[in-house]
Amino acid sequence: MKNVIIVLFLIFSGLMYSCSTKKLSGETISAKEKPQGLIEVTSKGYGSLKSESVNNAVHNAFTNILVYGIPQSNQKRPLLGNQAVQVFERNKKYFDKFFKNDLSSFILNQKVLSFNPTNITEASSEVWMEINLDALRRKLENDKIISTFGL
Amino acid sequence: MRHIILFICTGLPLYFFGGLILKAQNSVIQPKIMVIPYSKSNQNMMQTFESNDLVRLAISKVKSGFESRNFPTVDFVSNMKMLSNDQAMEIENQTSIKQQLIEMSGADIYVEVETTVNRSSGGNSVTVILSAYDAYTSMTMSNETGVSDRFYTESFEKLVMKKVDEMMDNFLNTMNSRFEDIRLNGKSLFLNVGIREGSEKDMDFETKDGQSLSEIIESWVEANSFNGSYHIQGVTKSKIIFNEIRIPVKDANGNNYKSSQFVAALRKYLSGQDIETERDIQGNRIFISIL
Repeated sequence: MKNVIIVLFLIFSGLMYSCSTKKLSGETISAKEKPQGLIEVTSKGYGSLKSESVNNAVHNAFTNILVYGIPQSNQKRPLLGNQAVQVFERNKKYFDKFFKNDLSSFILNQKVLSFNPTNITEASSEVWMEINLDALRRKLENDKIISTFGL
Repeated sequence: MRHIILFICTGLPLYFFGGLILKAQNSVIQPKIMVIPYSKSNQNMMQTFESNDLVRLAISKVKSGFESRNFPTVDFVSNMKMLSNDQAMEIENQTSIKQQLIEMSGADIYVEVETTVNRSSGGNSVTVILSAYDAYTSMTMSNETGVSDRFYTESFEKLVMKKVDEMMDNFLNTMNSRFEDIRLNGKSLFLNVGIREGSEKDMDFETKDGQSLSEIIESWVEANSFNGSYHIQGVTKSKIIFNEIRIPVKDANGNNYKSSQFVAALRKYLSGQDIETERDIQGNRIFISIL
């Protein structure tokens, strides 16, 4: 009996460890083609708690939009431009604050499609989001992170 | 006390307005963009525009797409009307009409819009092609193609509107990425230096420096282009063509650097080599004739 408890404990600890690692992943895909100024994505997140993994999914979605772009969406190119990675690194403090406080103001609709905290191989949550791309772009333009359209 | 009041009345407004003027001077002159219908070489552009509702809709939607990014466009119809019927009749080749239209409007970039209706037993759809070109160098600025989903409908207008709406963000983003490249690596010029008819000189003419004319022109361009970035299309005895020379968007003082300034500097240099010239500047397309 003691052995069974130990084995169960080890398995549980392993699962908790695998899910608690917050990570940046490219698992953000376009959900649907949208009109100008909007983007609809599904994004996967990691974390042992539901709130934690959903936040990670939202964080991943925005990071991918800003730095890498989302294939087959309204934002195939990175929103931060040709030098996206450098711009992101250069403004690390700004983005730390942005991710902490501002993300929710650009999410028009959000739905948690699944939450599976015991899955070892896959993300613990999948979140669908409709994001106001236009407002996000304007915010970054006003804050002088990216330049406005044109020369 | 009187001095303080005088300072507040005159000094402060000067400080603030001076700053504003300085900012206005330093803001970059934006390129002019015109949205036009795509027409085949044997098609009349105005006829295409007037007879094709879908193209008109698509053009209007593309224009509002630019406006949503605070970037107004040059109106195609008013410019086409300015190109009087007589002129249009004189120019038989439709490609030349397009060229004339672009030159007259002063557009730096033109966007061609093409729509095609696809009918099939499985439903109808539309194809939309948006292509943006640099009017002077003909380099592509952006290109986006989209095919709508198939529907059992004859409302092609709705399909076009929806498709253009879905395409605009990526189309504008690609254009903006080109603008970003221009800000970083300079804007493109086309330069054609030719020998005027009747001139005794040719491109092998030996200059004061002991080098040939084509050599000194190339060396000067290399030294004065942005980061030495240029490309020669070809050199013959009678001309040298640079199909792309990169020049900075702003000069060392932060003011706009115009193509005319680049030309003036080249002509001054050639004049110092006892070579007199004439020039013709059409936006970023420059023609210099050696006399």
